[in-house]
Amino acid sequence: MAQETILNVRDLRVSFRAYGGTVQAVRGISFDLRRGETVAIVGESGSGKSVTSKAIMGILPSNASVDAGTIMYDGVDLAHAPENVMHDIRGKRIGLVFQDPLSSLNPIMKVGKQITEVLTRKGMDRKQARAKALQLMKDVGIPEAERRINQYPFQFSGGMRQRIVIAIALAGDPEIMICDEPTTALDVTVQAKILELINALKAERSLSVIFITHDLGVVAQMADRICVMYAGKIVEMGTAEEIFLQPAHPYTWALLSSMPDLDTRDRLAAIPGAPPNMIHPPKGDAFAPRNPYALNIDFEEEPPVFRLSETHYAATWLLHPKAAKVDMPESLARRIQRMKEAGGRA
Amino acid sequence: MLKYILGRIGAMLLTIFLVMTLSFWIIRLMPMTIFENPEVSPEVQYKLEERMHLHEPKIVQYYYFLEGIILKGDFGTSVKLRPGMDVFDIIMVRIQPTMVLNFFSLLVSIPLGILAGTVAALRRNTWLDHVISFAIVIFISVPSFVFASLLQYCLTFLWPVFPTLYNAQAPNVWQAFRSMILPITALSLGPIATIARYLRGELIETLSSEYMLLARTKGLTQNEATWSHAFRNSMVPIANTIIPMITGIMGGSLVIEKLFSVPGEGGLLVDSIMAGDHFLTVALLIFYSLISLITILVVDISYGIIDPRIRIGGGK
Amino acid sequence: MKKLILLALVLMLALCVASSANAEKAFHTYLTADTPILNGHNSVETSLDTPIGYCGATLYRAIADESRLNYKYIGEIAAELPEEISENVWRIALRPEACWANGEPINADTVMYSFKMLLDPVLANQMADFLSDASITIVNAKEYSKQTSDAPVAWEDVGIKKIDDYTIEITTTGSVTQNSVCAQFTNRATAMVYEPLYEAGMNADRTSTTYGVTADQWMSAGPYKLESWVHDSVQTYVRNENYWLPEYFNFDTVEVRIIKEMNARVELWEQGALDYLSPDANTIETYIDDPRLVENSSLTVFHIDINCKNPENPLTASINYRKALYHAMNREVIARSIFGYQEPSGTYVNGQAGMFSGEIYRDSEPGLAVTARVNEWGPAGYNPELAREYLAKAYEECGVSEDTVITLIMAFDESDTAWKATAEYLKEELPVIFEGKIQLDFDFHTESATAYKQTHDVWDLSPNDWSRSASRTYPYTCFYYYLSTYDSHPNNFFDEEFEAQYAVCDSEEVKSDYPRLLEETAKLENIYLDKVIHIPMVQGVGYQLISDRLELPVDEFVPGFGWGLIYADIVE
Repeated sequence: MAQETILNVRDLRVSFRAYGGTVQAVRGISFDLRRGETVAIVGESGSGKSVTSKAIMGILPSNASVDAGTIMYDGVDLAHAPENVMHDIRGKRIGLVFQDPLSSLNPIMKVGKQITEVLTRKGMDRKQARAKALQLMKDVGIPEAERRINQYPFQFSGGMRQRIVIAIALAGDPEIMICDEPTTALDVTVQAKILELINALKAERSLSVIFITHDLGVVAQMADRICVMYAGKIVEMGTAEEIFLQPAHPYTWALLSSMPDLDTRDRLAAIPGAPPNMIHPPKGDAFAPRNPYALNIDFEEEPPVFRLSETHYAATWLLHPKAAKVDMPESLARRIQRMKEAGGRA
Repeated sequence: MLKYILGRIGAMLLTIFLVMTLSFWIIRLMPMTIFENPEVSPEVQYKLEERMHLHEPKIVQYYYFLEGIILKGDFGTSVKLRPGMDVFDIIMVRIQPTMVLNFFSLLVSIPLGILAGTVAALRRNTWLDHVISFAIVIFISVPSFVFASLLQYCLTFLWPVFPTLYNAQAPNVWQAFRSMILPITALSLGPIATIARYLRGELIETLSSEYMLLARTKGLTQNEATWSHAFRNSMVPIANTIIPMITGIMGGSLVIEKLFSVPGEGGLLVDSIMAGDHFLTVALLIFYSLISLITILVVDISYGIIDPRIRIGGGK
Repeated sequence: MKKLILLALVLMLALCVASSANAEKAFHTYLTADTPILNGHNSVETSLDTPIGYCGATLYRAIADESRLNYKYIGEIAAELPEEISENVWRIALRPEACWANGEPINADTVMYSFKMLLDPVLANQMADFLSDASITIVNAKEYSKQTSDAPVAWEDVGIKKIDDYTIEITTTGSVTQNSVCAQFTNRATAMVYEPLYEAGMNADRTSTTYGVTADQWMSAGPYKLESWVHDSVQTYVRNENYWLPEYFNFDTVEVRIIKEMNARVELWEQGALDYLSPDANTIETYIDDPRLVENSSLTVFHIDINCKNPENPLTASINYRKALYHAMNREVIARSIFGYQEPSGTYVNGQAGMFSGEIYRDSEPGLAVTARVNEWGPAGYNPELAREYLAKAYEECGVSEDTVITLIMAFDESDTAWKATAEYLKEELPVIFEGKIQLDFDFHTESATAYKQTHDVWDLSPNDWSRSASRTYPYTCFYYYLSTYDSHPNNFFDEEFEAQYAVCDSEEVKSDYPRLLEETAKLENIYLDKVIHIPMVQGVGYQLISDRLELPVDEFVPGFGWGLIYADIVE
């Protein structure tokens, strides 16, 4: 893991002005993306993971603002870069794949045009652009590209549409691709194919990928490193192996427990309660009210980040030397045990 | 697509027939006498009525009516407003001012409405948006003839910039057009507001759509994305407002033509109803529904052009 | 591009200069509704009168006389005034110089063709009676125009004869004055028609012609030529260089705009773009003190017809009930306030009746006596006391118990604002006058009153404004529509005594003796009042604003001639 860091997020804070007050969507997160790796950001909806991706792309809605922190990319702070700078970075250097391929494609524009639009605008001639679009469509695995280049989004299936969205994201040959829940809206079988495709493209084009999802199961086969977000903070961060085999934060435990397990008939353990209101984030550990292992101090004071290894960090009082030793739930431990036996099967 | 158009034309012909039948019966069942001037002796009245088959049963009159129109293209003869003149000729003579008035109103309202709507949407919640939205409410809720009178009073009387009335014998095109500016303006305000209102709503919605975000993430500027993605998508529902707008303009021109003495079809329709000129009224009703139906057809077809989902997906 | 704009500017400037440089005498007037067609034969609209005055030619024409207080007839196509060569036979010599605007001559053949077509039984022209039977009755003319296949009348039998190329003869049914002969042949229905176009416009079965429907299908012959006509917008006239009496006319051009909206007319008048304005009830107030405002009595006495056969009204047939209503009308208020600056009238013969015969009936001794009788009852016949008395009698007569409340139905067209306001006023007033016994309810109709009455029985009161232009010659003809012989009569009350007296007035003996005619007319009007054939309400008063730049040919309003605007001059 000695690759260079190409994207560096430090203490990023993003808030929204809303009717009830200011929503603190992202409350000081830091992580690195290294060349050629995939970092997954995992969390429930509302945890701030999509906001993070939008902040990186500089497409936060007008009522949102970056309150603090930096997003350093190639010597530029994306969090505070002017629009014209962002403009040269979006698409060309960093591509974004959206969650819902149905609504993220313009319904009345031919897909070929949607792929090449940026290219032609930036001076590529039509023929070249068309050839490039065809190539991209082939790359993302769309059969009969010659014919389909002139079709409209509604003539494609969901999986095919997502491939188009990926093709669009790749059109400018970016070096970073952010995938914001790229498979959530798709059938399970299609999901797998898209994930394969992303992996293949990543390898082919030596992309660095930020993969955003709420589904740890999806992450298993994708990510090199995983950030678990809760209530605008990264609560645990580590390599995929560390997160899956030695989870330290109770929230990660809960997430892992809520994954469907095909091997056993264990009941899916839903996480009790609801994420906190981010207009008035709770004092102490935001997860404490839903945390069966919460200590008194969790309600009083924010936990510091404890370093578990070179790559593994977690923010929970449970790791405090003075805290009583608490083990992860029994069922989860059994599951991890099985996973280890299966050889880290994802 | 061709099949679709042919189907629409077929339906249109059927509608025209129904309109013909309906207007015939509604107009003829209304109790009125064609000649009611006390100075014309009853004998002469009877003779004239006989000539128009008015003493035959209504159903026979209906037969003559259809026979005239379908077989001979004969809509009958005016009896009151232009006695002896062929109804079709009367309509043809007056088509030009009406068309100029309605056409220019459309021509003015669509771009201005789009402009106002776009500005309001892009500058949402600024003073500019508030001013435009306020104007929209006023223009939509106040009928066109009120504006017409107001404009006429202010711009021809208090501050005479424009001629009070339509100038049918202007020495040049500019003079003729100058006399049409006020009626066109009066007719356009409502439609401008209608379009602006719809477009503002649509555009605000599309501006926050996912594909707008995508368009920006792929490197388009906000303006480029607005123009090539948000704008065209917003036009799809706008196409639908064009139909009621055109009928609205035509309805408004009924009164506006009278106010500005524009010698068009609108004033004629009102007069013919007032005077009880049956043949003329019926022919004008057919004329107006034909225009409406043609616009609906054109809008339907252009809808297909704007929105591929209708053209290809519909399959009809 | 800049050059182009500059060129356009220069061009516009040039046009402006060119148009203002023309110091011609242009008369600007208007019509409230356009002339439907110019063929005077087949349209009863009064909007034909003005245009035909400009671009049509008749045998005679009325012009102001030297006194500037009256008018006189001069021959237009006729060379001189008609001459009675034997009993009831009038000879009319024609001017050899009379011609169409294109220079083609107008002669006896033109006159014969025009008259024959006007009376043509197949064409069934609506204005035929204006030649056959108006101020004079021409022998067999009506019989010819109204003939049926079982009783044919030949054209040769009609009392209109060509003697030679420039002489015609007219035979009347009775003795008539020279003036009434002239009056008949100044009517625009008798204007010449241009045979080639009249025939060209004829349909296959010769039942109608398109003569005069557009400027192209019309031939001018009068002092002016119809230069252009955009229907419902504007008619323009220029001097007819071929006209043979140019000395009577001063305008170089006449522009008649068609302006349907009163507001627009007022604006144009205020801008000085109109030389003439007839204000309506709403605008008259603004101009009532304007020195340019002139007034005159109109041909119309607004009145209310009474239904005598309403199956739901127990009083319907009672004469006392009608008298009660007659006296219950506060005509002062209705005429002055509701109709707006009009005259209250408790009598029915209008203020123009008789003016063609030398003396206006209302100003004559017998006419004044009737007015005096009415005013004895109260101002213009209004007397609530008397009204209550008559209603009590009516209740008794019809055996209706005293405490019965009767609701009358007033049927009218809601769009007529003056009548609507009158109806609302009466709805308040009648219950007060009759101490609650009479109530008023409305029934609105959109069709004509005639059509309404053909299909409805249950109504009591119906406003009416019919007038008869023949009354200008024969005052008694006002009552024509109330005879049982008139088909589309506006009510259903007929009275033998009334009909008998009408017949007396209508006899040749009385018609030829005007003082006697006035006496008999007064008798007729008294019978009308006794029987309350309907309720007279308001004598129409016409108001006109005439621009200062016009110099009129008369000093006062001359009935039957008006202000002679067509002969006015422009002084600036």
